[in-house]
Amino acid sequence: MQNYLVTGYVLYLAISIVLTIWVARTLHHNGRIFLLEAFDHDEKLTDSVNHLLVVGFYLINIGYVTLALRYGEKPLSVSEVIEMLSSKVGRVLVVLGVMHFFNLYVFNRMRRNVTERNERPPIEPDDHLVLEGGA
Amino acid sequence: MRKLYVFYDNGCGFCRRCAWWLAQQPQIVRLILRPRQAAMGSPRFGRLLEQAAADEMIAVSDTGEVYRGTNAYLICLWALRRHR
Repeated sequence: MQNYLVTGYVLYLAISIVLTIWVARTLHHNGRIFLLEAFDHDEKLTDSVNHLLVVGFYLINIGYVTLALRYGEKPLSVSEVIEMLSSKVGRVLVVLGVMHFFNLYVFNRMRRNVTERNERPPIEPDDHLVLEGGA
Repeated sequence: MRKLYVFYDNGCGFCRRCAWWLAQQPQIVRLILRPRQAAMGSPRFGRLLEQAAADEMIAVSDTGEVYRGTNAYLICLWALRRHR
């Protein structure tokens, strides 16, 4: 039944793309403050990286959705359309989730490094030396 | 603080071993280890080292803070990832 297949594909693309856009916007919006910390409060760099990340995110995710379109069993009834949708959309969600946690991991590491570097020593110096031209 | 210059006594085996150990550790602040005998003539640190007691360990940060003795020892540990 050609109709079920085409309906399934159209629904799959629509749901996946709407989900991708929603996740990308959420990450773009809420990730900014996190990135700001990771880049030592450099606003310009943060906004640039944030934007580039969203672009990369769209490319990978829409690429995956497109590539994965033809795989799986072809539906012959309404219930099979739903099954196809759930397994395909589910896979998209898992891919999104894995990417999301990987990103979080990387940026958290960067943030930790910056925080460590900016920490002040717990002891007061005994003396001060004037270093000409910096050390 | 990005860099920390650490001056140790090259005539003392224990000090050399400590310096070697420090150099091997993962660092948050980069440690630059110098035998104090070799740094005596340096224009930046020479005077400071000449005035210090011979058995005193000295650490100087890239921003000019000077740590002596026990404080120098503590600041070196603070510079290391596993001991901060």
